[in-house]
Amino acid sequence: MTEERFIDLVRVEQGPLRRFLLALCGGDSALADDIAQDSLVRAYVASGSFMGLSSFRTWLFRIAYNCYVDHRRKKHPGQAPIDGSEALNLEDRNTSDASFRYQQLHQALDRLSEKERTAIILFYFEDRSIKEISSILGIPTGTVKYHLSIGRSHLKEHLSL
Amino acid sequence: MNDIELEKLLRKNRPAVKDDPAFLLEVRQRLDAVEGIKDEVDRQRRHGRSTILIALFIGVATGIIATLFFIAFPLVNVKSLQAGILASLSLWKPYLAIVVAIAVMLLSIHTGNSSAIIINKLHFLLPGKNSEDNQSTH
Repeated sequence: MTEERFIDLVRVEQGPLRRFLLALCGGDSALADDIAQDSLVRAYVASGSFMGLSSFRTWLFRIAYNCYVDHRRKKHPGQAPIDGSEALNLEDRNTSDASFRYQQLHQALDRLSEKERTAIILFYFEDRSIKEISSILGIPTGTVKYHLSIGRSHLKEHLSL
Repeated sequence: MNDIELEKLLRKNRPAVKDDPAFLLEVRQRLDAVEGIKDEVDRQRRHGRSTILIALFIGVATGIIATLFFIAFPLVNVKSLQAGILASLSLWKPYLAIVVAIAVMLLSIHTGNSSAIIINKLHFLLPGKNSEDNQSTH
């Protein structure tokens, strides 16, 4: 794949990719962009091995997810949860109620396990199908459904506290 | 809260990302750096290959010349020839350490130069560049 062709594809995919990583990183946009850059370099280096068996977006999201996991392992070897207050950077909201609800939701998301949070983010924020999520996370579809179900239950618990 | 309410809440609160031209610019810079590294590695590989070919050619040529020499002068005593060469080399023995030191220095400079080119290009690809830049500006 040529550099120009790759850049053209990235131009289309950069929004969803950065949004996915932004949600995963609890609103830390600088960190999300760093991981996105790292993912894109890895994807470009590996672009020769892209067979087109899945869509470019699914393939790119899988690389991005692996980069995110690598980063978490380096920064938080004990899988310590990200501070929920980082979610404050996500976006300015017009009303204080909406803003509060928004922060509360993203703080609750940060309290989920990595797989649950990723499955919820991909399913509800990125509108990815169960099959695509299974391909991105590298787990069977049944396990994705399990993580979604458990994630929803945990999220409801955290939000009702 | 039921599943439908949770779904509505999630879909309503998905994070928004603004298009950032600087992001694509940085991607392009990093990809250019990757291309630079690929070119440098290819160049060094070609250089290594040509060095091996030259060494092989010199070896074969020397072998042919030696063979032709011994065919042309069958009466030359090989042992005395070797002894003569060793004797002339022993004259240079005191300077051998200097020659080796110079060779090592030249090799080190060449290796250092090649490594520096790659490291300079790798600088663009190091993760954590954005967050470090942002932290330094805050």
